[in-house]
Amino acid sequence: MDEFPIFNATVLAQVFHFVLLLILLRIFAYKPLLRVMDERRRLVEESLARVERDRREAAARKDEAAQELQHAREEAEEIVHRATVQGEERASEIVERARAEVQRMHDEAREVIRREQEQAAAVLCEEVASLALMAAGKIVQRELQPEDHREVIERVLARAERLIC
Amino acid sequence: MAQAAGKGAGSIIERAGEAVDIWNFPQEPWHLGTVLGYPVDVNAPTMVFTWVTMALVLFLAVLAARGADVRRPSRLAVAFEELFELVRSLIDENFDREKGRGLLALMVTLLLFITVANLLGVVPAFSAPTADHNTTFALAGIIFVLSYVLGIRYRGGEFLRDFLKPFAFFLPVRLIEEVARPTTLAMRLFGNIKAKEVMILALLGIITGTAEIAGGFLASVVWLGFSVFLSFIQAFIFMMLSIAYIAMAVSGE
Repeated sequence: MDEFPIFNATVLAQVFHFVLLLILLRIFAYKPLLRVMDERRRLVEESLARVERDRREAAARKDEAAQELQHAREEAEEIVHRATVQGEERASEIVERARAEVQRMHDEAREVIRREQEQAAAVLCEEVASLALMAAGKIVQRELQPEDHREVIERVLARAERLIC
Repeated sequence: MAQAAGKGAGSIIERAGEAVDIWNFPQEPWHLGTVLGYPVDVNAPTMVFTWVTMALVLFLAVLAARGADVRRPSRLAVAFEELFELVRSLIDENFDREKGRGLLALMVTLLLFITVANLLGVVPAFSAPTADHNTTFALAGIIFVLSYVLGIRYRGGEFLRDFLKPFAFFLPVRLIEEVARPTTLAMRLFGNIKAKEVMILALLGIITGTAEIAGGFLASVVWLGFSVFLSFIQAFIFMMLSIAYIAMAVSGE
């Protein structure tokens, strides 16, 4: 027990040494190290903030693009719808026009037929009158002059018209 | 019989110590003079190896600071940065951010100093400054003076009134506690490191010839692994307890 350590000035010397070491480390090592660490922390925080900002911008752009896509889709649908309506209108117009053309051609054809029929009837009447005159002349053995027998001829023609036309 | 065995063991350790001691340090403390009638004596090995410790710590820290870079730090700088982050997180767990900020440099220095000092004792023929109770009591003293200063600074009279809680009757117990804390803090470190060194010498003495032939290296290798672990763990414990004691003084919890 007599060798149990006794305190001496080493205690004070060690306090001095430790404080001196602390001061020297603070000046020559900790300050530059902590400055670099703070600088890096600042850089990392800035990078994180930039990443967050970029992420938000990207999200905003994505929304914008989605909206534009939606808008374009709606526009395309509108265009298709309009084209369909226009096409249908155009088709019905063409059909209508064709129907009108057919009707017109039909009417014209009917008119032509009617005229032809009238002309044919007129020609036939004249032929019938000539034949009647010729037949009558042969019957009475002389030639009948239309001027002389106008009344008879007209009467025959009238009867023939009633019969034929 | 036991006394004879003890004497035998003592002589083994002494012989091993003498064999390993290549520095021829004086056995008696250095007498530097007298101040106000009191002798100023210091322990020579402790002084010398404290300077070695300081030089090593300074060298490593300055090397790390030179390698510090925002983008491409050196490996040593990264190790120091990790150490700072570790100590900072431990402080933040125990303190308000504002109150704990100033302690970072102190705690990192404490950890570095004690670790390197402890590890010096692992090297054959070197002696750990922390194997001298003067060193550990000096460090514990700094921590306790600081805890009182910070306690009074942040809590004023409330800090002093804590000594009378829960009743004034407990004052002697609280005073014993206040003496016991720094004492145990210092003795724990001193005891562990001193025991580690004595064990190294004992191993050297038991394995005949290794002290003289291999400079204690063979025996030290056996004890090396545990000694290194012990050096780190004791430094960490000292720092952790220092943080805890100061935090208790500052927060009153």
